[in-house]
Amino acid sequence: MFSDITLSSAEEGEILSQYIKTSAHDIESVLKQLITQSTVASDITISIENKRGDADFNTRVTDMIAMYIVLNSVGEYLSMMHPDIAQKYHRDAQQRIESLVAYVFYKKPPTEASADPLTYDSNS
Amino acid sequence: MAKTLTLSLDRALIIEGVKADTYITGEIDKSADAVKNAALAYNEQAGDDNYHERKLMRTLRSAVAKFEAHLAEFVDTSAENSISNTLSQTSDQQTAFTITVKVSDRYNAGLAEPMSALAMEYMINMMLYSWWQSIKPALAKDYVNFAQESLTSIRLCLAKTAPTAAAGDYKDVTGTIS
Repeated sequence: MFSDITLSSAEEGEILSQYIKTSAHDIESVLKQLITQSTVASDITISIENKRGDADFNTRVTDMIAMYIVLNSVGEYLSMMHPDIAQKYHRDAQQRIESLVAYVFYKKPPTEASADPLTYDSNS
Repeated sequence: MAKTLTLSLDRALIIEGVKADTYITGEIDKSADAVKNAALAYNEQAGDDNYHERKLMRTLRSAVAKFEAHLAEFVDTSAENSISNTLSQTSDQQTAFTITVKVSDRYNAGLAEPMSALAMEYMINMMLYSWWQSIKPALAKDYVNFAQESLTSIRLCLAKTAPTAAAGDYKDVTGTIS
């Protein structure tokens, strides 16, 4: 089995590269509302708005995106020769992208206004 | 009409009220299915995105204008009712604005503070009505009803107190025949 799934130079250079790019485009598609800039070439750069997210938002999102791209690309590749194994990777990739969407689309509660809501300045 | 009543409102508080309410609704929707409803909740929860903030400011101005229209006969036209202030800066800045109304000499001064609170509630509810109108029209109807209730209460606040008793007494009213 392992000889089957060892990548040839053509697969590594062209096919896998195409899978990686397609996976990155999947990310662009699901997060398009919040993406401010995106480049998918030899490096993948995706800039996402983060106005009410966590401080370590960038690290977490980058990890999730990288993991999705790996899982999905492996799943795509395996689907040609071992579709049964590929399903597991596709399921994992799907879960990863769902977690990513849930995380990126999270807003923290709104900031409290500094005035006390129970006091009102009025006079007559 | 002799007393001047100045309702001082805080724009940041009003906007926080709208954001908090929409945040709660979004979180409730997410509790049904956190993954499927993530993007839905994000879009329901007002604020932060530039176009959200702009819509909030537009609807705040509109709510203030409607409030003044409903109280047209009381609004002090000579005063600088600073609705323009509500749009002049971004929503996270603490900006008070005032609405000045002329009320009767017999206005109950103790109702000035409740009236400010009701005015704030009216604006929050009208903004929530505008917010939900395009997303959840059924929910929007509730908010316009809440706003109407606030307005009814505001009008009740504008009632006159009993007239001051004159120094004389009715039994002293007499007639004479000569």
